[in-house]
Amino acid sequence: MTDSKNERVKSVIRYILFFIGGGVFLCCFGFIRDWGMGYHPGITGYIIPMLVGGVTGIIIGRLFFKSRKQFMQSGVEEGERKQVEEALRESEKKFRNIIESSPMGMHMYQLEADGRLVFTGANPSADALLGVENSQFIGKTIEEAFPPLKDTEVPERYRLAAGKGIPWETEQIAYEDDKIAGAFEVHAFQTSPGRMVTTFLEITERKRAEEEIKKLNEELEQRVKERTAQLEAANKELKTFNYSVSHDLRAPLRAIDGFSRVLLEDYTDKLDEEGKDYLERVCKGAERMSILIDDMLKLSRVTTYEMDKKKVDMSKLVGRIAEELQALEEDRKIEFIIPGNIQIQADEHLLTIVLQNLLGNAVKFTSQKETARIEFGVRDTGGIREFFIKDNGAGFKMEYEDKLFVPFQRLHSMQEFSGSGIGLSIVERIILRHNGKIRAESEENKGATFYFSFH
Amino acid sequence: MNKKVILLIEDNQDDEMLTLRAMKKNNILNEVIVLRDGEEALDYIFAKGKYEGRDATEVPQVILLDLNLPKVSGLEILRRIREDERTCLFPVVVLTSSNSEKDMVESYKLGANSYIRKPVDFDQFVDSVKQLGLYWLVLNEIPADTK
Repeated sequence: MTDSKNERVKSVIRYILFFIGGGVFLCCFGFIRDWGMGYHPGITGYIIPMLVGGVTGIIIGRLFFKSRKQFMQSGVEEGERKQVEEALRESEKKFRNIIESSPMGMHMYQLEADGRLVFTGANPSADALLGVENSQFIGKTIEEAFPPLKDTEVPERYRLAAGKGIPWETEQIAYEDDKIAGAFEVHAFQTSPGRMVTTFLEITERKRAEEEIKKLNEELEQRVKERTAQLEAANKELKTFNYSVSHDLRAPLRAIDGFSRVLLEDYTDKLDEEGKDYLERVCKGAERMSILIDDMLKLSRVTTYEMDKKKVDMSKLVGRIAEELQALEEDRKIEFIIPGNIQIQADEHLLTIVLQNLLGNAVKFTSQKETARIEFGVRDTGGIREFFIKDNGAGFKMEYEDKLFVPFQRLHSMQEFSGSGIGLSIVERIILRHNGKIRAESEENKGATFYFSFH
Repeated sequence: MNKKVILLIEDNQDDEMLTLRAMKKNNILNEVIVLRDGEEALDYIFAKGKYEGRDATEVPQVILLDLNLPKVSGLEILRRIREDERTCLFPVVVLTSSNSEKDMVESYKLGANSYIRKPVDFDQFVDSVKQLGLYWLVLNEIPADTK
């Protein structure tokens, strides 16, 4: 507002100046002419020339001023126009550079009023990627330029992009002999109403890598399937083996034991002490073998058993087993220490076997102590939850540690402590099936502690 | 009183001998009919083949049935006994070496009255037979002939 006021003030001053200028000029002119002719009309004689001169001055001044303004304006306009043109050229050059140097191939299309989609240009990458000189297609319709595309969805998609601004993206893969010869990632989008661009990016390597990974995965799946089938077959064989073992090996044992007894009974008077002794040993041998068969079966059943892991209250379980064991040893004093509320994720049946064995051992090996003290607990060892069962019984020498979990290996004679030596093997196998670990620490006559963990 | 028959379906001759001896030791004086394979057992029970003419409705005191038999298995015999109207009430005790849980479940499912594992130890075996005798021959009651 102040500006136009300024403008008005300026033009008023201008007009006054023109008026004065014109008036003075004509007066002077008149004055000099009159004086030259000896004519002295007085001031009033000059009023009319003054006015005329003034008005003329205004008219001429205005014309002059306007044309000068226009001249200046056009100069400015020219200057401005030049500036704008320059800026436009710069901008165009910048964007053109992007298109020209882009590694993505670009095709430009224009949708004509009659529905034809006309190819309007391409960038150098398009030429390189497609191995053609795309300039030959300029002006042609997409169907004319690229006949193979005619029966595909491509022209329709491009039309939708150009006309309705619906973008589209896809992957085009060319195969040669079952291998990927070339692959492109294609994007089609509108740049302005009726105009569109498709960009295509070479992704051959990426696609090949993807296919490779897919193939490897399938191979892996196949191998896993085969391996599982093998394992299942092995397990099944083991189960069948178990069945025959349990059944077929027993029958002859029964005959051995049975008829030895029959001999002992019916031929007592015909046998001397030695004879009777030998027959007794035959019987004991058969019995022992029967126990061994049972134990082997227990061990292999632990392997083929189908686990069902769930939350188990270990404190309660230990408590129950402790009660059962105490009931079997009525005349002994056994002190059990069992902290409450220890929970764990495991198969309950197998866990029971573990605890029965470990606690049973603890009870067995403390049988020669006045007061047996058996402690169950859990502790944190380097981030792992370790359970332990500790007793104050006979213990064992640590140098025999590696024999502890071997089937049928015993560290004591049968007279000292009974047992076939299979218990700890069974325990170890169950722990391993839970992906856990077990170890023992002991000193002769100072008790033993078994540490185990689950995962 | 009519002393009823005991059927012993057992293929193992050692076991047969030991079982008979154990019964004798326990004063079990019933007639024991030994059938040595599955086919023979079915022939006898249903009065076919070489046992044609036998009275099939005669109820045995107890049938001691081993599971592992040649030709027809013990479980199959059990099924057939239970399927036939004439024989479905016969008491059947499965007496076997097998300690497979599956066998036991199958036997009970097919309608066995009892399942007993033969121990290896002969003394125990004799004791088992004694208890069998006491229960099935003395204590247990069976229906009169199913005419």
